This record gives sequence, structure tokens and C-alpha cells, in this order.
Amino acid sequence: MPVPCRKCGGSAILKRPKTGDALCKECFYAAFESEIHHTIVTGKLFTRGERVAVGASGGKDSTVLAYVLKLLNEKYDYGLDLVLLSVDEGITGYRDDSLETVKRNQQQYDLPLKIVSYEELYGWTMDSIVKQIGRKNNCTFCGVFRRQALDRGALLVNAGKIVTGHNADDIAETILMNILRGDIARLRRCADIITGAEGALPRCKPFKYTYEKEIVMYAYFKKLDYFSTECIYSPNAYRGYARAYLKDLEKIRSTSIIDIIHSGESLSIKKDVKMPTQGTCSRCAYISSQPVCKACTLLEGLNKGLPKLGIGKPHKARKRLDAVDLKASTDSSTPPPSSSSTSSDPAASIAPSSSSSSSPSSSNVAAEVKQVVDF
Amino acid sequence: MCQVQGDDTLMIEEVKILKRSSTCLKCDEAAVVIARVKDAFCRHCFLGYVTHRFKATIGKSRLIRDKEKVLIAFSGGQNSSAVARLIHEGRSENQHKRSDSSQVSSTDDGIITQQTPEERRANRETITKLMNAYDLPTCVVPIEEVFSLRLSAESTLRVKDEDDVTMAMEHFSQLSIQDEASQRLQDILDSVKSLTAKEDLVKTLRHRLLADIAKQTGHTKVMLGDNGTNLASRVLSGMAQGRGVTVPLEVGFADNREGDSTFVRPLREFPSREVSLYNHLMGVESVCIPTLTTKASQYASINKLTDDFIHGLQVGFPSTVSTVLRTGEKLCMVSSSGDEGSCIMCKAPLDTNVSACSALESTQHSLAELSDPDRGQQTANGQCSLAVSCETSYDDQSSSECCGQGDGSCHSTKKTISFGDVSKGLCYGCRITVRDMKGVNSLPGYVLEEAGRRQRRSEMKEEIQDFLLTDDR
Repeated sequence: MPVPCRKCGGSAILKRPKTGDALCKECFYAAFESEIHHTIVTGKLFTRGERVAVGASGGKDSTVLAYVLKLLNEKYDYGLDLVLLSVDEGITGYRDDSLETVKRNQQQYDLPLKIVSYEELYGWTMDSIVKQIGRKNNCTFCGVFRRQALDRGALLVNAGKIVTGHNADDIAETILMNILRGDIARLRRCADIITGAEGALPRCKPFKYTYEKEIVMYAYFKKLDYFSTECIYSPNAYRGYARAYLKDLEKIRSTSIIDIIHSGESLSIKKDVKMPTQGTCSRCAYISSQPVCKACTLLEGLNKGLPKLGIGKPHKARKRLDAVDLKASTDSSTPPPSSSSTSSDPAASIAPSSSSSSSPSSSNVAAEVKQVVDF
Repeated sequence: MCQVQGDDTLMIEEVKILKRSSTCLKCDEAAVVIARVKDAFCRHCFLGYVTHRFKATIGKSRLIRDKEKVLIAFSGGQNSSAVARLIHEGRSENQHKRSDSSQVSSTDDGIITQQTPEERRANRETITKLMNAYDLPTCVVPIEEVFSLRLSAESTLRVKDEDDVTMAMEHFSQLSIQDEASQRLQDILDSVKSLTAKEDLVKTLRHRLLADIAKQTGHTKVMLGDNGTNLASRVLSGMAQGRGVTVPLEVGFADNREGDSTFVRPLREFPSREVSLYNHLMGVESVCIPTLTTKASQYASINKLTDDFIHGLQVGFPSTVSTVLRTGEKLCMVSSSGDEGSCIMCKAPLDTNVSACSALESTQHSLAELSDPDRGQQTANGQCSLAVSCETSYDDQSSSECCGQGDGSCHSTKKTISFGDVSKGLCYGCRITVRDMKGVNSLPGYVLEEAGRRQRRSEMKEEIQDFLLTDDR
């Protein structure tokens, strides 16, 4: 027995996860698009004439995002200049394939595409980082580097704003994660629709109120070309718990996702709670809450052959790295200039060659640093 | 998740320490328990630690004055038994000290789990027996009493006179279960579709009843038995049920949304394990009376799922409970704007006055999109949307509903109240719960009265709107 579409009375093809309504294909497209338009308008996400970089990974969210933004831009005449921006992390068997999808999308949607790679920005691919650090913790590198890479890529194409395909599920998950981790500073800003306005390029999330399931539905019925494979390097274990919890919540009550976002939006934080102050990195001038940003710290660890040192609490990481520097400068076998140049000159820290200078004594240093850390 | 990996290594070290230390942390006696994360205590030092921490939690809050009358909400379970025992110990130790005119009070929730009258009577007797051990005045009030609460009762002044208090106490201890009220509550509970909403409703009703008992018997504080583990789980389940705005009230030491009866949680610094250890060592008796989700699967309700989630995570990451609690502590309340700014059900500040770009507005936009005028009355798969009013008339109750004040504030339910009218006065979390019910007319009188009052106020305001110079009420 065909179920009638709630809107037009035709034969319905799906049940909307968001409202539970049965809709036909056309009415679902219309509702989906009009809701994103509503979010864009009420959230004042864009201004006319702006060049906007669409973070494109080739996955479902960003593919639908690029498609819908282009469509809405024409339909409602936002006057936006859209550019696809991809980051090549250098993961063989994952990113190279998904980038092919992005390249096809570029032709299908007729949008310019810019690809920035970790290799050209940092001198390291994720493959080579994983060789150093192993399967654990590599997501820390990838996540921190991607954030900067998107910003740098957007600057290269002269974009004033970045849009990402984060959907409602992602945001609800992040809110839960930040509670579980006790990260009050991120908890405050993770529910914002536009983030990073001060310092870095503003980023916005037009899919903030869009359920992941509906994005998949849209892509499925529109037969959009997207790449769906999990990253080959181990998925983030702890986030996995939050995700599983969220999926279970959704099973019990399908509106839980939007309810969590509502909760996140209505939180207010005590005034006397100490917040990290946002400054800029003394090395690369990128926005950072520490004197040296996380990306530079991680990179320094990599280049000194001690990749694990940059992981963990920022001040502890700093201490460990300083201990390495101290060790290097007191050690007569290692020429002091090389270590001081890596720490003071931002350009030098990007060059992969500097890692070789400290590698001979690295295992020895690592043993001593470990002791320092334990205290 | 670098910090988490750090914790992993920490855990391994702790296991080593546990094996080594068999003597008490404070004295050199043989240790019998492990408290906090890894501290070994002997019996005497552990009990001292618990008592000290309990008193310190109360003292630090600076909320409970000497000789203040405190009502202990007692369910017979581990937590409330521990609170009663700790208060009892404190009293016998120091006669003139604080909270020496307390009372233990319990609500009889038998109806919720559909117990027979005999079962309920048996449970009441068990609980009374347990409460009598603490040498304090006691009473057991059936949860149905919540229907006799009136809005008008709120405006009556708190009773001060000793005679009034005794009378009120007598009144509460002699309450019998009214069949009519039982039926009404049963109807409401049956009309709630999901267990999550049912739990939420019962909790709201019970809190309101406790606040009312406290008020009528002249108590200014109500002590709840929530422990740290419960509260950590409450942070997450509160978030998941759209109650982010009340998280600071729900998990803080004090919850003052009821105005002059403040709820306090003196066990909030203790994880559930320490409460059990205390009860075990002190021989505190408790009873487990089944609730809605006892023996249910973990997917039965959001609260149940969250409890299981927190417990599971706590095993792998022992800092989970304290981290979540500390996150909850850093949140604060937004000040509600006066009388009309709070929820008519749970008294939380209203969080529904939001900007155009928000989760609430976006959901309403999605729903409004579909409610074409010609098809608007139809609801898809029985779900009641915000845009569609769900009017279900309950004719049989109409006559008993008139409050008869005769000053124009009389609200008779002959004119059935719609979901839309009620929902204006509800916070986001209560809206979800009420939307899960078949109709709003079976809600307790005090909720409907307040909804009606607010509606009339806003109608009045609309009428005079053109002549108002400022937006103040």
C-alpha cells in the first residue's frame, strides 16, 4: 500500500528522520534545500560577492554541500564565488581515491578546485607520519594539520570564508566529546554556526541542523557521486564511544541529535572559569592559545625524530621539547646551530631535512626525556 | 585523544600500587577499602573521610544554617539511606548543631510501576520501618497527591507556627491513596508513549511534590541522595533531552528553582562505590524498590542508556565521572526574566526564546513547512507537531477543575486548552515530554492553571499593547 506524501499527496518514498513525515522525492528535495537556505539566511552565513572555499573531501557531506551550495547560489542568487578546496593528507589507498571523486565533482559542478597537500605545506605525508608514530595518535597530527591546511589553502585562492560539511550528528557528537573530555573552551564554541572569526578565517557549517541520514538520503536519491570509505588508519577510539552513544540515543529518540544541539546552544559558562586566551603562534603567526601552536609543536617533534613528544597537554609537550633542545645544545656531538635554527626559524621547521640532524642521538635523548616527563 | 592514552598508562601504574599498599593511607592499620581512585583506608579512617567530606560539602556551600529545618527525601535506596544515616550520626554526635529539626519524607510511587494496593502497602511499611531507624519524624506521601497541588497554594505563606507544622505533618502522614487521583495519574502515564518521557514526567512531578511537602511542613531545604556517578550521568542525559539550560541546576549542590525550598545534594562528591562502601561498613539497611527501568534493557530510556554508558566508560577511563562533573560545575544559569520566564512544569528558566538561527527555530521551520492549511490538521504517524494543535477534550473532568476564586482568574477546562497554549509556557525539555503525551488536558491542575493564567496575561497585554511605553510587564 503506497503511503501518501504528507505535502503533495503523491506516493511517498521515504520517512524523514528529522520530523518523521512521509514524503515523496520531490517534496523531500524541496524541504531539504529550503531548510539549508533557511539556515544560511537566518544564520547570516554569507555576504554577497564573497569568495567561499568549500572544504571538499569527496565524502558524502562535502559532496552534497558543494552540490546544494551551487544550486542555492543560483536559485536564490547569493552572489557567491564558490571554490572547491581539498586537502591531500597523503594517505595512499584512501585520500588519493577520494580526491579522484573531488576532481570528478569539479567537472560535474563546474567549480574551480584547489588541492593543498601536507607534503608541500609540512614536508610530511600522513603515510610517513604513521611510519614514525604508528597507528595510535596519528589522528592528532592529521586533525591539527588539516585545520591549518584548509586555512592556508583558502588564503591561496583568496577566499574570505570556509564552509565545511559538518552535519548535526557531527556537532552533537562534538558537544558530547567536549563534555566527556572536560574541554570547556571548545564546548562553548563548538555549537556556534560560524567559528574562528577572530584571527583565522571564519568557518561556517550550513549543515548544522541537517541530519546525517538526510544527507545520505539526498545523495542517494540524487545519485550524487561520492566516496565512502573509512580512513585506513585506525579511527579515533575515544570519539568512537561518543559516536556509539549518540547512535544509541538516536535509536531511542530520533530528535536527540537536535536536542543535544539545542542544549549546547543554551549552555552558559560561569564567568570565573579560566579560559585559554587566543593569541598567535610565535613561529607561524597562526591562531593559537599557546606561545607555539600545536601544528608547530607536532612538526618540531616529527622533525627532531621524536614524534610522540608533541602529543599530550601543550605545556607538557613544550617542556619535553625544551628538554630535547637543552640536551641537544649541551651535547657536544650535535652542533648547536642546527637545533637553534629549527626552533627559531619557522621556515626551517618545515624543511624535512632538519630531522636528520638530531636523529643519530634521538634514541638516547628519548630515554632521558622520558624520565623528565615521568616527573 | 592524547590525554586518554596518558590515562591508560596511569591506570596500569595504579593497579601496581593497589597490589602493594595493604596499609591505610592515614594510619598504619590494615586497609579494608579502596576509596577515591587508589587510596587504601582502614575502616575507621574511611568512615572519618566520608563524614568529613559530607560535612565539608554542606559547609562549603554555606547554604544550610544552624538549626535549619531540612527535609530528607527518602526512597529506601542506598543513597538516601546513606544521607539519613550521615545526618543521624551528625545529630547524635553534636546535639546542638545544624539541621537538628529534620524530617524524613518519602514519596510512594507504587502507581507508576503498577503495583497492587497490597504491594504498595507493603512497600510503605518497609520504608517506614527503615525511616524509623533514624529517630526523626517521618511521613510517606503518595505521588497522587501532586494532583491536589494548586497554584493558589503557592501563594500561601510558608507556615511558621509549630502547630501548623504539626498539623501539616499529621495531614501528610495520614494521607490515603485516592482512587480517583490514582486513576488520573494512571491515565497520564498510559498516555505517555516513551519510557524516557515517562521517567522525565515522574521526576518532575516528584520534585514538585517534595517541594510542596517541604513548604507545607516548614522546611526550607530538601536533601536529595544523588551521588557523583548519578550526577555525571545526569549531565549527559540532560543534554540529550534538550535540558542543557538546567544542567547546572541538576548537578550542582543546590537547586533553587522552586523558590523557597532549595534542593541540595550532599552526596555529590561521592561516587556510587563509596556510598555503597559506607553503607556496607556501617551496616546501613536499604531496600531496592523497582522503578520504571529496573531490569529493562539498556535501550529502554535515555537515562538508562546514559547510566550504562557512564558506567562502561568509567571502567576504562576512571576519570570520566569526575571530568564530566567538573564540566557541569563550570556551567551557570542564565537568569530567568521574572515569573513568566520559567517553565510551568519544571520551573526551569525558559530556553525557548532563541535567535532565528537555532536548533529550535530550525525544527519549527521544518515542521511549519509541512503544515499547509488544508492538510495541517493531519499528523503523520501520530506524532504531534508544534504547529499542529492536538486538542483532545476530557469532558469528564471539566466540573472539578474550577478553582472558584471568583476574581476572574477562574479557569474551567470546559474550554479545552491546546498543546500550543501550554507549550508556550514550557521549556524545551518539557515540550518534548508533553509532546509525547496524547493530550495536555490531563496534566496536573497546577500546570494547567498556570498555563491559563499566562495565556490570559498575554491576552491582556495584547489588548493594551498600543498604550504601553516600554516592553516591561
